[in-house]
Amino acid sequence: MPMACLETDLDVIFSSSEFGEEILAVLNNYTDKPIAGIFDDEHIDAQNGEGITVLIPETTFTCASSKLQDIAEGQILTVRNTDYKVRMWKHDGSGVTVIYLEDAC
Amino acid sequence: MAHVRTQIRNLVKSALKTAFPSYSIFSSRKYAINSDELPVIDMKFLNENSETISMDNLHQNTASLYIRTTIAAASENLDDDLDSISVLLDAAMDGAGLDNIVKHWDLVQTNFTDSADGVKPLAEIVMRYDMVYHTRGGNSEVAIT
Repeated sequence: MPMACLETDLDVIFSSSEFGEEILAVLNNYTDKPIAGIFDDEHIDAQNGEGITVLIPETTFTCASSKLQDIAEGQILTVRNTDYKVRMWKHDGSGVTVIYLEDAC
Repeated sequence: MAHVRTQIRNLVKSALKTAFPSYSIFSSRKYAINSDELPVIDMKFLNENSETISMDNLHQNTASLYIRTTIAAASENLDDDLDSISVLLDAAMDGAGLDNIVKHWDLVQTNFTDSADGVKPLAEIVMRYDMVYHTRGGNSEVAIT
């Protein structure tokens, strides 16, 4: 868990007035709860065996871990009118979580 | 004319275009591909063994053609989709007209790989066909049938 002062800093960093944006997330026990965080879909090289490399977005949403107490696989995050399914997530141990998303279409 | 291997790849590409009209199909591709171009089929010969089998310089060549199909789909359906593709692809190979060039060909190996790093899971099925064709020494453009 982060120190209380760091929690305050994270709120500032992930706020839409700084580096983040409000993401509409539908989580267990929540309905249409907006979460502030940073959305990213940088392309990565997916290499399978000796075949052609496929360039594919690695779509993630990074936010304060404290906002995700009820996160579960398969939940939907709506980002810029596109639905994504929660595949997995990584806590960095200092109050930040990266959620890896799958295209829900 | 072209090398017999090129003729084989062109025949296979033509057959697969008919069987998989919505797929991107390449008989030779090295550059990376963007995921929005999937599904894609590419192929290449990875090796060939040759031997002289008669006094009049008849060569028997055994070349391995690897046909790779890459798809992106919902993770729960990927393996079923690959199995369906293998059925279609094998049927397409049967109708490719290879018997006009190749003495004998057979599906000898199937491999699977996958990747779940991106926003959609990727999966590949690689089907290896061994092609036996005959040529006369010094002329690799004319298959002896």
